Amino acid sequence: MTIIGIDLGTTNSACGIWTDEGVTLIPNRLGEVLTPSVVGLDTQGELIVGRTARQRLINHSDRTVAAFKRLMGTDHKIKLGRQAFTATELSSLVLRSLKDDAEAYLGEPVTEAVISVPAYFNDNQRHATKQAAELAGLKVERLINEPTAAAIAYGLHEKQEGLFLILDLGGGTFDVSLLEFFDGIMEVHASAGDNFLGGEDFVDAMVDDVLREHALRRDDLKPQQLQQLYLQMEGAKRKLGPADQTLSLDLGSKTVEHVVTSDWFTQVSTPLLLRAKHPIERALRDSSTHPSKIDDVVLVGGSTRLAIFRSTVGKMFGRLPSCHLDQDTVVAMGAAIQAGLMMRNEALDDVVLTDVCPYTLGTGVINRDNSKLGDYFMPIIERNCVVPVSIARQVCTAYDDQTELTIKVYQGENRYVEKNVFLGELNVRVPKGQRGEQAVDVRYSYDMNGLLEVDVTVESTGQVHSHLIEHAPGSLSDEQKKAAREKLAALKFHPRDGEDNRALIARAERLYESSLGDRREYIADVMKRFEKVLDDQNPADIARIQKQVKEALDSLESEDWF
Amino acid sequence: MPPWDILQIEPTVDARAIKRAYAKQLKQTRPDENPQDFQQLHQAYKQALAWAEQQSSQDTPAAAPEGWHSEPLSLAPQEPMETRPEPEPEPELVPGPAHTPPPSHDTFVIDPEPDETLKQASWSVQFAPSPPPPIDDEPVPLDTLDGPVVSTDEQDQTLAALLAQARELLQQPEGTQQADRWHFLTRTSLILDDAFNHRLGHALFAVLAERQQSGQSPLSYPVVRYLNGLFNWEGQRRRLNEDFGEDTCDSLFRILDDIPLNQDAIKAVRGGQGVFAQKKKPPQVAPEEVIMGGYLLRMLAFAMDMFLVVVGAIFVAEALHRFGGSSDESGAPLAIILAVPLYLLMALIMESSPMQSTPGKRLLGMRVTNRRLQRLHPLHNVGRIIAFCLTGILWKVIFIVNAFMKGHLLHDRISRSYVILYRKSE
Repeated sequence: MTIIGIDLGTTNSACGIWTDEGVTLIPNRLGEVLTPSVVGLDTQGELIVGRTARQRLINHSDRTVAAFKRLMGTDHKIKLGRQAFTATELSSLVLRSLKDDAEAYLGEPVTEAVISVPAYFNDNQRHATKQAAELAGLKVERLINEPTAAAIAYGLHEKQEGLFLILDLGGGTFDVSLLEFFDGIMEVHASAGDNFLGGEDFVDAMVDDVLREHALRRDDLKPQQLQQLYLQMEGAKRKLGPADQTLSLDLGSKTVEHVVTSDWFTQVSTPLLLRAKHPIERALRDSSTHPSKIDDVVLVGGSTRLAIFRSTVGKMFGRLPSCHLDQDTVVAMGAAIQAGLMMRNEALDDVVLTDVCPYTLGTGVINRDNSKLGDYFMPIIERNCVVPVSIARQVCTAYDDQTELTIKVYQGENRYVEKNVFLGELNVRVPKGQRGEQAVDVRYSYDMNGLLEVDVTVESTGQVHSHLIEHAPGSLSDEQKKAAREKLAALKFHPRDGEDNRALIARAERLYESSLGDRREYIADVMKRFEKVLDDQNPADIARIQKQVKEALDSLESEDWF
Repeated sequence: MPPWDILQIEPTVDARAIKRAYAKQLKQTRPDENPQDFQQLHQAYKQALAWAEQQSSQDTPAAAPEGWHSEPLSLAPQEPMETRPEPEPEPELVPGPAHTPPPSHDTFVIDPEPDETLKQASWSVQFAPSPPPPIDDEPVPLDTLDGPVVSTDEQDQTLAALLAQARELLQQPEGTQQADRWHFLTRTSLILDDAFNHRLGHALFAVLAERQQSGQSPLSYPVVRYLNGLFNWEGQRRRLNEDFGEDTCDSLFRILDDIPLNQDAIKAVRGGQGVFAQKKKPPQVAPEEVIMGGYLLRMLAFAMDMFLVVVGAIFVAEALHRFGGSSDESGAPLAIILAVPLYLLMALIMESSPMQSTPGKRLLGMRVTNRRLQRLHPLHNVGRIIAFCLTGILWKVIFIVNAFMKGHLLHDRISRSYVILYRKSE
């Protein structure tokens, strides 16, 4: 049975497998390796995922959604048409699409996967990712941290030993991992990150600055105009260079010319670049590593293409960072290698990976000094401790005749629990006794997937409790899972074939909406011809017109990066 | 077990040998297959490395930095961190004159034609040789902050100008509420310079701290968050605490803590018709898992309670009667009238007490709980009693209806509470 490796990204997703020849990335139904993490419903309620959905983000923004990964592990729902979805459900739709592609490619059912998550994803977010996979009919063999995945791919590719700093700036998250390779061992020394810093934030900052300049708020624009503005800014970000770009922006009440210069971009992205330094400093500090000891700084993630990010990193370390592999797919490649490792592929027999837990995990203990500030946080597993790890600490009753102890599980670095992330709780009954007489051992076990298990042993009775009450945000009960599965199963994908035509139509529609006058009529004309040929269903004609339409659209926009 | 036994090598100061031994053992003790042994092995490995490090630094005190050349893979645990606060840093740690690249960089392959920005990277010197001051571990003496690198007049002027602008902005309500008013700070590229950034951040924090102490209206979350993003105040919290006092710092940092990060996540989502928080139902214990106190049992408990209350009421009425001594009627009718409110009062107090039941319920092994099987909040119990009274008005009908409720009587349902047989339920 093949295990596939999946990179479930904020902006793009990809999957791959390990074969005897190495990593193979699996093309999707459009023949592309990257599938945009965009989900939409069409008017018939059929499901659209990927590039076609992405093209529809402007014209059908009420039924299409992107960049939902950041809502993983929360209880928020996003409304699409008449239905509402959690980020977990949306992610499961992306996973289902990838799974379908892999099955079509391999010609066999795929039920197991290794999925990459940002190293700095918390426990709730990891569980949500796992549940998303379950909903898509995939069993998660391993959750692997994205920078670690990138490092595996990189390490196997370069076969170079030493200490590496991996900077993974993706669409929505920024991860920093410090790794060492030697003798087939990949050891992660420290991980740090920022879950709210990624390529999307740079675009956000650009949009915000444009709106500010024209004294507009987001609500002043129609959803369509806002999405159009986003796409224009994203396009400008991709094309940044020495030459200035002049964009014509439709801001609802007026149309303005906006000149995108690299100076302007530097200015709007400065706060983000400064924020990017924080986790880098923390990872180095946590592992007591002097920057001069680092043999190479490796850039991963599509957003590391930004020249300004590169030069900032270059200045920090006094050298140019390297990126020999494709930044967009290197994580998926690493996940595929991990999948190969899980299958104990012979070629990988000599590779062992050790990772760390990026957060401190602990429980709350009563604060008698100042109860106003809430309970104290008692760390049990310290951050950047090598995993798998299992550590027990003892806590005891706080009152006379106490019969119940509530063990609350938190993650974070703050001294007070209320400022840390709540993960769940566990109630334990203990025999009555004097205060402090009854003690329980709280054992935290953190596994290779970055998932936490909590066992509580009552010392006097030897009773062990390990059932965690799951009311962590974003987690689903069995019943909810069943309901979600039924709801998602009711959503059908468009048939696989013809996806290329739909993508082309979606693109033409988007261009039609954003054009005026003659240009618009020209597009309408092209579309009419195209639809007519599609109706006739003659494969040879369709292939020919496809090419023509594509050329026609290409002539209208210099670059289609959707 | 000494680490060397676990690693199966002789004690050595050669870090490379230790690593090799560790790698060899690790391939037999894979972390996913044998977590406990792996932890032990890993600890042994770390201990051995630390020992080797310690030994070699004792032999040749200055060896640590040079050692790196011969031993490119060696970790330097603690070393850089501990040397930092020393008043006289090692030569290569001195933040050199602004335009000379640090000597340590010679060892790295730099692009034959380094790009222009890299060449003038005056502040790269700051980071590369010594991790910058904004690290919270230990205070860096102020003189290094105001050291030679940042002392140009121009920088001082810019700093003063920015601070003046910040002060002015703080006088306006928009300045304290809207983050975009602070964008002027990024207009100068100097802010990317570590030393300048740190100085400005520290000075600005001082201004905010002062303002905070004077008790003016608090700054908004977006403003503090934006500024914290620029200056990493959270990362230098310890130092700021020392300089400005814990209370002041806490009051500023608390603004950051108040708002959950979900806000950003929601803002980031593109498309869709809006994001809304899903109401999370508290986990309910399904009634199958507990056994309700049945109707007859409940009636019996009620009868016992009423008996108790009436007896009590008779005593009270008798007492009133005797001491009041006004009329020669018996206290019984008064007692009956008193019994109803007394019962309600008793139920109100006792059912939300740790006992969680009236004496009658207690005797029959029943306990009143909420749907999470926890003790009722007193207010919740007030609601329960009101529900009981309301259903009491429909007394006769309810009696019949309740008989078909399988122990989940009407007032239980209305007030969302259970009366369970706790002995059998556990």
